[in-house]
Amino acid sequence: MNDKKSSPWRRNFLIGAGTAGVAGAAVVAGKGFGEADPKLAVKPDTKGKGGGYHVTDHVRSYYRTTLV
Amino acid sequence: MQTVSVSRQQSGRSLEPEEQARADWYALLAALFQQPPSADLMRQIASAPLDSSTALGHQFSELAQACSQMEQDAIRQEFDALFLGVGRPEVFLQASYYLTGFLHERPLANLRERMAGLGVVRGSELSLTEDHVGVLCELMRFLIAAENSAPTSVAVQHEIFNEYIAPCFEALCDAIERSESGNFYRQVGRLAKEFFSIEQQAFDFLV
Repeated sequence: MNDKKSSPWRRNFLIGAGTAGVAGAAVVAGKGFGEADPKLAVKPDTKGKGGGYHVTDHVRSYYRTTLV
Repeated sequence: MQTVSVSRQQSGRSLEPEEQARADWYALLAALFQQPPSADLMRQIASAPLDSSTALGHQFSELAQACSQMEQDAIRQEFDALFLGVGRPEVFLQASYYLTGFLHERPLANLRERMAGLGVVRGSELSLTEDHVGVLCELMRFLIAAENSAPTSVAVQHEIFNEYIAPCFEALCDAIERSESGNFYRQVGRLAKEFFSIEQQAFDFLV
C-alpha cells in the first residue's frame, strides 16, 4: 500500500465538514483525561538491555516454593 | 471512571489537515464513548461552528443541538443505562461482542497481540478492554497522530480499522439507535456511523 498516494480523504470532502468545530471539541476531550499520564504509549525498546527474563514477584514466589 | 487517552503533547508530528481532522474526529468519539461528556466538552460542542451541508456536518450539528438542550446529569444517567447496566448493558460497546457474540473472546486477544506487536502499551489504570469502541477510537487517533508511535502508516490503520471497527460499527450504532434509553447517545451513534462509513470508503479507495 503506497502511503504517498494522494490521500483519499482529500477526495472525500465530507471529512472537512465540521472540522473547525470538531478540532476544538477534540482539544477539550483530550484535556478531560489529563496529559500527565498518557494511557496509550509506545513501549520503550528493551532490546539489548536484558529485557527478556527478569525477576518478578511471580518468579520470586516460584523460587520460594522450591526451597527445601 | 478510568479513561484512555493519548497525551496531545505526543502529537508533535506535522499532520496534513485531513489527517488532523481524522485524528480529531477519533478523539471526539473516543471521549464520548469512554465516558459521559464533561460540561466543558458539551459547551465546546454546542458552541462549535457548524456546517450542515454534508451528512457528517449535519450529524455533528444534531449533536451540538443535543449538547445545548440536554442536562449533563441526564446524559450521564443515559450513559450508565445504555452502556453499564447491572449485569447486561442495553448496548455493548466491545467489538468482541459483535464479532463473536461474547465478550473477552479471541478478537480481544488478537487485538492485544496486535497492539503489542506495534509496541503500543496501555496505562496501569485502564479499566476498559482494548476492543471497547472508545479505546479503538483512541488507538486510531494514536496511530494517526502520535509522534513516537510504531508504524503509523495508513496500511496499519487500515488493518486495525478493517479488523475491529468495520465489521462492528453498523451493528453497534444500530443497537444504540434502537435502544430504549438512547437520546443523546442516539445522536452520538449516528455521528459515529457516518464518520466510520467515510473512513471505510476512504480505506476501500486505497485497496
